[in-house]
Order: sequence, then structure tokens, then C-alpha cells
Amino acid sequence: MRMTSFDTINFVVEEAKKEFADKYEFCERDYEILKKCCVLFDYLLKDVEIISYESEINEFEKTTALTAECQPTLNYVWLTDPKLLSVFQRLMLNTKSLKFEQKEDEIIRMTITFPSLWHIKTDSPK
Amino acid sequence: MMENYKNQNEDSEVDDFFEMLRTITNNGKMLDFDSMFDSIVNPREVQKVMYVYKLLRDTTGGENVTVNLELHEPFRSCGGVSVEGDSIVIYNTPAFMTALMLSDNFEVIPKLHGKTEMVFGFNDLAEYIWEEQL
Repeated sequence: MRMTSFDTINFVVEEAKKEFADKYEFCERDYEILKKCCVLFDYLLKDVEIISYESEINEFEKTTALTAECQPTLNYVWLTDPKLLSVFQRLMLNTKSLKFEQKEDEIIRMTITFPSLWHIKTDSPK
Repeated sequence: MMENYKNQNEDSEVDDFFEMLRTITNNGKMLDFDSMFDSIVNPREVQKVMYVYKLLRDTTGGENVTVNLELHEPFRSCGGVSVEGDSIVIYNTPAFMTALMLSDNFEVIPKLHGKTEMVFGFNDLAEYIWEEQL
């Protein structure tokens, strides 16, 4: 069974939750949005052969990066399908940045970075 | 991050092109005698390409990025904007979505020497005039 992008993200987010628990507050609402974005991301790449998914949390910015390595080429005709275009649009609305690079042997790495899921803890008013 | 653009000083070239577009609009049509059939340039579609070119030139970042514009290649009716670099980063996602929505096709292609190319394709830049339409 094909691994989903959310499986990858969920693992690193759970680890980061423990690490950041002292200083930062985890935003469940933003995480729900991110979950939906993962579904959109998987749908967008449904016809592409994915070699691997990677996920990483930036220690300083607390942003979550999701990378998909695609084989042999990331060669889409996304825009001829209005459904895929609208999926891409919804995904982009919640994305901080998008990066394309070539790893080796024509493997394209597509990385999307989501905004931070953590907020600095503030004392509640008494 | 905007860096290393090959086409940074092409504003005058773009302005010249818009001037040409105005001339085309004023004249009503421009006949292409080089091709097998006459064609009329579609100023609205060409303006879309120019807009996407400017948008991507100003908003795309990455390593060794170049933004290129191709009009009427390989056919009179086709054109595109390509972004090539060691890595291509889009920080301005709304601008990227605008470029996507204006274009007719979008591809990401691996190139030689580890470079990646992102292509926004456009159709209908020119309309061919068939004999019966004349």
C-alpha cells in the first residue's frame, strides 16, 4: 500500500510536539488544515510514481516541510484538468513556499513548506 | 530571494513588445506571411504571457535561476515562460497561482547538469486564417 504524505508528517510532528512542549503551544486547528493539505498533495500526485516522502521541521521557524521524490519526471498537464487545478490552488493557499530541484538521475524533488504549527506560550490572564 | 537573473535588464525589451502590441491592436491584424497560413496575433493571449513572464521574473527565487520568454515558438500559436535553475523556490504562492491560472499548461522537467526547468505553456497566441474565413 502506498504511503501517504500525512503518515510521514505525523511521525515528525509527534516527535516535535514533545520537544517543543515546554515553550510552544501546538495549534490543533492548523494541524487539521495541514492534514487536509496532505490529502490534496496525495491527490495531486496520484498518477506520479513516488520514490519517497520526507518530512522535516525547521527548528527555528517551526515550519513543516514535506518533500516528495518523483520518478522519472514530474511532468504534468495539471491545468488541462480543472479539478486538479482547483486542488493545487487550495493546496497553495495554505503553503508558505514551494521548491523544485533535481536530486540525481532525473529524480525531481518537490518540497512544500507549511506555516508553523506552534505558537509561543503566553500566560493566561488571571 | 531574487538573484542571478539573466533577464534583469530586459524591461526595455518588454516595453518595446508592449508598444508592438499596441500597434497590432491599432492595425487590427498582423499577417504572418512566413508561415503556410496567414495568422492574426491574439494580443490578449500575448499579454498573458508577458504578464506571467514579469510575475515569475520578479517573484521566483532559488539557485542560479534564469527566467526565459519564448513567443511564437515552435509554432505561431504557441509560447511559454520557462524558469530554469539548480533549484527553483516560490515564496510568493499567490503570484505562482496567478501564473498557473493564466497559463494553459504547466510542467516540471529535469534537465542536464542537475538543473530543473519549470515551464508555463500558452496556446492560441495567434489565430490562423483559413481561406474560407477571408
